[in-house]
Amino acid sequence: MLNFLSTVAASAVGFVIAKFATAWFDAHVSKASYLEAERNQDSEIVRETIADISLKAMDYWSRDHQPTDQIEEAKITAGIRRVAILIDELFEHDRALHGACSIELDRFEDKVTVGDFGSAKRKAESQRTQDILLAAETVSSKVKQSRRKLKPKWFGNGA
Amino acid sequence: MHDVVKIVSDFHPYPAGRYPDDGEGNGTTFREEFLVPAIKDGKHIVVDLDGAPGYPSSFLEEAFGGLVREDFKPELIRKLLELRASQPGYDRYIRRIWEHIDRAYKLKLASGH
Repeated sequence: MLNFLSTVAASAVGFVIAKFATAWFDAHVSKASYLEAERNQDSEIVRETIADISLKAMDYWSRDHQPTDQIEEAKITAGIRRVAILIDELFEHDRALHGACSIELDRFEDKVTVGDFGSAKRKAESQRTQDILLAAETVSSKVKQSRRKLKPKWFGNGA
Repeated sequence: MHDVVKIVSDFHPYPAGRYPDDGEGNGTTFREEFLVPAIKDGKHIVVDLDGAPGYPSSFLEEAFGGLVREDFKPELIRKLLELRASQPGYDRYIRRIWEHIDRAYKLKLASGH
């Protein structure tokens, strides 16, 4: 009888431990999956924002200065800063990937905002629209590749 | 004792453009009103970058790279100029400003002036 009771008690304890372990594992996997999905979403937002900025910038550089340009200029510079924040967050724990994406963002920013950006004497620059498109594709591609290289958060690394 | 200049409140909320013709928030005016007088007097100056929508390269190049074209050496600029940013997304402008200064100096050396 005593043997039977101790077996039952041991089974009950084992069951409870297994339940706790399963619940812990599920919660851990669920949290990690959520974080991975969040990273994918951030990467997607970066690429969408870059696409949006490049459209605005190509329109901006395809024509001469207009009195209402200040609004577009503010939207473009704010968009680039938003991308920089997302890159900071996304690659916070990987300096190499962060550096690689930041360099491409700097190049993109220079294609868009260097020279006569913001100038009342600005003239259309058709060559620049091509350069902006290429730089936008490069930064988007770099972010996508770098996102894939990020260590997953499954076991607490890369967090 | 040093001066602290917060660009958005002490200069202009939307810094952009190179020259005075480009609007009130242009890089030349910022350089001439704030940076050049301080550096000429050997004063330490702190520039706070927080709060603007962003900084176009044209503004940064003219305001800070322009110091080199006014014959200030990068070493002197580094000694007297302190750049500050605490809000997310602004610290990269500090790196970019030093890049503009270094690039302007390289161009100056290459042109032999």
